Amino acid sequence: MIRINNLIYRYPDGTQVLDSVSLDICKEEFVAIAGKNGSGKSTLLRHMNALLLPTEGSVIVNGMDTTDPSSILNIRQMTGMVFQDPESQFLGMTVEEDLAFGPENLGLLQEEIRKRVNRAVQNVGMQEYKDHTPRSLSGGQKQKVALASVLAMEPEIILFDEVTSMLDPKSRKEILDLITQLNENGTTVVYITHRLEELVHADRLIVMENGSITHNGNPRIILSQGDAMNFGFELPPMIELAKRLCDSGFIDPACFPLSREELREALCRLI
Amino acid sequence: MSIDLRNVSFWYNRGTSLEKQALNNVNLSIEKAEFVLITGEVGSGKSTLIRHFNGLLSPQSGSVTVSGIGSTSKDLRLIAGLLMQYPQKQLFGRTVFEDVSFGPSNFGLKGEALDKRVSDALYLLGLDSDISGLSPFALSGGQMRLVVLAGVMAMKPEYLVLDEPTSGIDPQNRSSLLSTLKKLHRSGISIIVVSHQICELLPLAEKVILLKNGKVAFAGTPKEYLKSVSSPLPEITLLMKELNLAGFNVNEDIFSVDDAFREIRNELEEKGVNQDE
Amino acid sequence: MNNLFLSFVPGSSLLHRLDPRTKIIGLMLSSICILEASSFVEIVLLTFVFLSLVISCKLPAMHFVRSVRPMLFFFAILFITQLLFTEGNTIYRFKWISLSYEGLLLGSIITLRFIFLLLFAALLTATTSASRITTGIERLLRPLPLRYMGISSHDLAMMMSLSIYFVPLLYDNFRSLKEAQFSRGLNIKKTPVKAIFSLSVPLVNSSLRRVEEVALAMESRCYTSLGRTSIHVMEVKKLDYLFFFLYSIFFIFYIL
Repeated sequence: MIRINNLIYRYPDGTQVLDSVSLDICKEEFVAIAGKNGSGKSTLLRHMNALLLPTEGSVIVNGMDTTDPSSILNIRQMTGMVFQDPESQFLGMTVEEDLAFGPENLGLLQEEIRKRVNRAVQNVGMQEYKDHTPRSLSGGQKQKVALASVLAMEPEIILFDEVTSMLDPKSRKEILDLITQLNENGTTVVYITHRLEELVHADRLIVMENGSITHNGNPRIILSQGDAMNFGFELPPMIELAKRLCDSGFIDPACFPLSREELREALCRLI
Repeated sequence: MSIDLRNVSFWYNRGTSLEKQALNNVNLSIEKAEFVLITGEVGSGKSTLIRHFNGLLSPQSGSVTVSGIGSTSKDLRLIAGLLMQYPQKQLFGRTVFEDVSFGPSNFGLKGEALDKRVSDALYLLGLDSDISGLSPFALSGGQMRLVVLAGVMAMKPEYLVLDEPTSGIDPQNRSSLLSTLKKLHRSGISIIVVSHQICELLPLAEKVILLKNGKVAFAGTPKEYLKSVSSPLPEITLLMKELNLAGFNVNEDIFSVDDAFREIRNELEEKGVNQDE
Repeated sequence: MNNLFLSFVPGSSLLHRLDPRTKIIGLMLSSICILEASSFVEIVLLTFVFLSLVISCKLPAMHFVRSVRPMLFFFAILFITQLLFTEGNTIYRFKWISLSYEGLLLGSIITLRFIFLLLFAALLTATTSASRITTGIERLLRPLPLRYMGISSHDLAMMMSLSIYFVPLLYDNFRSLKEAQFSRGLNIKKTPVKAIFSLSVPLVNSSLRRVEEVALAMESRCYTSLGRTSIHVMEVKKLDYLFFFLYSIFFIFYIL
């Protein structure tokens, strides 16, 4: 689906941000990307929907090259992106208008726009809020609307740039559930996060450092081999506990528990 | 001298069709040098509550007294310093000095006394004194936060109130911020934190206040909290409860990693599970 | 503050059912009429037109009164200035203050003009949602050769709706910034210059950052300057032709 080959990206002033990154993302995968601040995660993500263009190397999305001007709109329709700040993504006076923004850009007919808006708002459970202004919504609700506005464009791939970092715990869970469901229904997900518990449903973890990929594979194996904090993750008490139990030999590192449920199951299996 | 709230109620947009009651007959006391965690769901009234501590808001019924001074008198903000969410957004100075000296200079401090205040505040927060002459916008995110906090501490408040201090913070700076708060508490300042992150703050808190729909649903020690409140609870406590339901026999009043590890290890060894490796 | 942008009251009256373009052109023409008004008869005529439009939109008169209220202070100043400083036949003298008849007349007319402009504009904003208005404006601007200036009618409409949308947001940002700086010791009276800096610098910073982020969001949702459609149906119906006819007649009659 997405094929990145020796991608190098430099700012106009010469600073190198991405250093020969090569990566493949397959259909219906849930790929998580992690790394410390400044490791290049967001930059990499923005190449996947042609918001940024490579200085050297290539990014091919579904056979289309991002450097081809005639493909850019198609690539962006197929690859949606949800950003971190709930405030900066609202593009209309009401929820309905915001959801209509994307389809309007695609030049769709009024009836089709309405259909898509209704479908998208239902998918995220915000039907009652269709006529609400953004000021009346909480951060979590705004992010749901942001997700719906991308869904209204019916993309095959959705990119998420730390979408839960500004939300409260309850909203975080709701958004992650929505994303997991989307992935189960066939949408490819690329998800930047620094929360370990959000890796639970990830098929693959990519760790970045200083503009290069240092790890690419099974999340649990990667975590058991290294220090999660070095990979840019928070170490919530639950994971710290899991790590200590692993280190003392009670739990097999290959099944490194990423959530309370998994830790509980692992411990129950022991007795 | 403590912060005392007696029968405090507050409505937003009172008298209009958009009226919303944010605080409903709140009674609470926060003693000097306590470390308090205020938690509750979105919309429970936490932000409204703390804005009463430094005089931003005045109660529409009931009374607020901070260190014996009523909220109708000016400048509770010298006694209770409030640090809002995403403090980096408040920076404006050409130099770090300008930003940190903003508070004390507005209350008349000048010259050498002001210089000392600023360097003391920077030192208190573990910032290098060389930072004084740099532009605050050239600093890292974590340092920016500390500069704004230094600006609040430079006013020498008795109470430091923080609104979701770890929100949006990158993992590296999270633990250092928490240890900074511990250090400040040890130096005698009362720390009041509003946060959703019970897991990381419960171990530090001496008192927990839970707000629900503008009312105080619980006020007491962390251990009492675990015994009497069913939600929200720290993940570790939930784990202990769930393990007990599955046949374990562990102490449920636990929220720290060390205690949990010890309990689980003891239980597993008792049950004859060996450490394999 | 809020009322300006949320003054839209949904409904299904005659005025509500009109295409926004009809209403926009109507507003433009009536504005020209209002600015030309200089006699008592014309004021009465305008009042009559306004009242009949109010009836046809089935909204309470209070709504329109409320839209004028925030500007009352400005109107009062306007009126008093004209009253005091216009030369002419003195009707009242007190020490060095002289009020002239011409001043009274001019003051009344100018103030009334402004009031009418507001009232007629309120008719538009009360019966048309902001996004319909901008879509209407976009359609009206479309035939213009804007592309020679490097923009399109869509860009203009987009700029308008973003501005409308972001002003309340900016206001919210400002309010929370004020709270934060207050908590840090803000004192406008004591150190006004610093106070202004502490409020303006962060606001500008966050606005610039917001602008960048919004642009990215727009690009990633495929915004282009051309070929945008709309969720709203823009149909010129018989009712529109009728209204158009009516006010064109009125306009021509008025000007002559």
